[in-house]
Amino acid sequence: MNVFITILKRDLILAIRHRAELLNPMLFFVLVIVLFQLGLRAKPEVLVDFAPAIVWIAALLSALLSLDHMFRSDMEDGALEQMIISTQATSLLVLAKIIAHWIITGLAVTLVGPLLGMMLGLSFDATKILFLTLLIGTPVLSAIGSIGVALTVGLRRGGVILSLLVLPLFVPVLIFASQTVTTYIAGYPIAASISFLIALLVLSLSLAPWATAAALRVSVS
Amino acid sequence: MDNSQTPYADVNIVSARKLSSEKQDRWLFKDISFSIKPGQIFHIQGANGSGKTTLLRILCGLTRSDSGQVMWGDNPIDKQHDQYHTQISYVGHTDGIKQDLTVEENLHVAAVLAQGKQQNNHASNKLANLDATLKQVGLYKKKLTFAHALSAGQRRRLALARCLLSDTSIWILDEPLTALDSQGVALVEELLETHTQRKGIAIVTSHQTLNISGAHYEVLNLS
Amino acid sequence: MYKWFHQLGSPPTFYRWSGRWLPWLSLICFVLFVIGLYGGLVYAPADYQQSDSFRIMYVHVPAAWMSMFVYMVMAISGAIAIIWHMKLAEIVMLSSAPIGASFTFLALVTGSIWGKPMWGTWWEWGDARLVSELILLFLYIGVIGLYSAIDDKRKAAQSVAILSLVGIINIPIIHYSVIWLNTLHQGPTVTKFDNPSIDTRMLIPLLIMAVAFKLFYGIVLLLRSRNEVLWRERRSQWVKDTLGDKTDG
Repeated sequence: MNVFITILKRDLILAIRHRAELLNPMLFFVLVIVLFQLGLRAKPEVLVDFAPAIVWIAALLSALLSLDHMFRSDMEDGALEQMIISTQATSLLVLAKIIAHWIITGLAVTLVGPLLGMMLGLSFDATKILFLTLLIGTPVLSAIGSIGVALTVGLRRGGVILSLLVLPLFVPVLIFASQTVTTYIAGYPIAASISFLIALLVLSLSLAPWATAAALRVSVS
Repeated sequence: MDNSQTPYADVNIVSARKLSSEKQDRWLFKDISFSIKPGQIFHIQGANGSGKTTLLRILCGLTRSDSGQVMWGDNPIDKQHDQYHTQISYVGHTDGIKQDLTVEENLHVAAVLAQGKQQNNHASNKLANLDATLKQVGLYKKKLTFAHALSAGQRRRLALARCLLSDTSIWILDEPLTALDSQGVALVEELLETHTQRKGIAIVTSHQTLNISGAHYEVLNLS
Repeated sequence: MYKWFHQLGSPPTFYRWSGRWLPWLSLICFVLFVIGLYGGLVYAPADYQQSDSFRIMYVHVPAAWMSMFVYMVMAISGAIAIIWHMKLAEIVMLSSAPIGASFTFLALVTGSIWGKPMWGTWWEWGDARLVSELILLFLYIGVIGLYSAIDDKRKAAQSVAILSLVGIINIPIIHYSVIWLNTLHQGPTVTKFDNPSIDTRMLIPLLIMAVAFKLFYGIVLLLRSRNEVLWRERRSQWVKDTLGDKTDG
């Protein structure tokens, strides 16, 4: 457990010392939503239908944008090698890095997302549900994303291939999260889809670290 | 350090059996075998691109060889990764130092990662351990400096400090002497001397010759 | 058993063994294709609702089945490649990816052609099968893209093995989520196969086609694997011997 906290703290300290980078994913998130609305110019009643999907697609894209940082600098300065030959379980270290990544990027999106949802015309109640889906769903993005980054971290041009690997895997999160909000607005019960989101969260947090650790071992070799 | 003369708890022979590695259709090395006994310094020489670093990484268990095996004791290291990793310290080309952490923070992370490696006597008091280690490599005054403010030689010392944090019996050092001044070289030689006296193994690549008294010294030339 | 497995894993044995089987497999496959296509296009009666347009099913359905099957083969051989570092498993996995992608693409195209008379549009987002098939195609492209992006091919193979295992866990989740999305929206749910009483005269050609597709996959897989084996072992003596006197290849 000590290791987990140390690595988590390390990543957070490093992020705080790079404050500019810290803000980028969130600014990107806001920008995408603004662009959507400017491009759509939809009537308010139509926009409400689109709002959950717009917010979620923006969240997906900003997660994708920030993922590359998860292991790149550790790869370049050799810290990753040290982690792998350490006596600690690599998957535990990976889990710490996933959580750190979520705190740095996903948490900000979770907090800002509902505000933007309101700007897109969601009711206050619907915004609460949007917040809930973001809270459960964004860690899944960090977890699944970590596998993709681990596979591509050794590549010079990893960015494009990363999105090709990761975006199809994001599909279930996108569907369930944005549909939860839409269903709620339409007045149907949402317990089932929330449970499914939680299931995705548990599944991805428990399996992704193993896959990521294995992928890192290959990438570092 | 007060345990400087006691031998390491768990020493064993590291040997290579017919190791081969190829890169882009070319054998870096083929069917090389050697064995390194406790207390020995194994110096790998060779021209640039002769596969020194690759060989070191294979010996660490980071990279897989294309054929052959690395043995620790009687068993291949793939079969006892966790056990083996409690025994090795590796200082690579890239030193694993985070630019934006201070010297102390860097070393603290390294210490936590090394938990479970054989602890030396100071382990009960981790802070004392860090300080003692920093003093040993002459970086104590730089404790709170950011790593990016260190000179290349100081970074090298910081990387070497990791080997001292945990009582590992196998040190694998890739060009430990680059960027070091004469004092630094003397320091490395002194550390290696103590290490071999305690029956540790050091596997080193270097363009310079090391001057270590009283150690079993063996050279492998890859080119 | 294990010994046999291991021997087959050795490239020269595999190369000789596959060379002996290939002509026979090709012959059987060809015959099955002829029978299946005749059965499907001529012998089977026209559907009372869709008249003759349903006959594209004899290509679409086997292709869709194969698209899933090939991914499964990839994931299983990927697992073997990770656990035992067996070269032949790596080769099977890598050779399967483009074949699987082609089957998926074929299933998508035929599905969309079939959709035109049925739904009136070339593409129907309401059809869960079609949408999951599309995502599956992206997964295949990801696998192929990752392999070509990594220069060190042994590393690439290991990475692809991990990716295909991750993919196989995700396929059911993706499929289920797309189905769930559609039950929610009550889209035009035209199910092609939920009709329980399919005429036997329609079914038998379909099954024959399915077997023919499997064999076809096997043949292409062998051909691709043989090439890959030769390429990987190009500097070894047995390849020089084999290609030198041309007795076997």
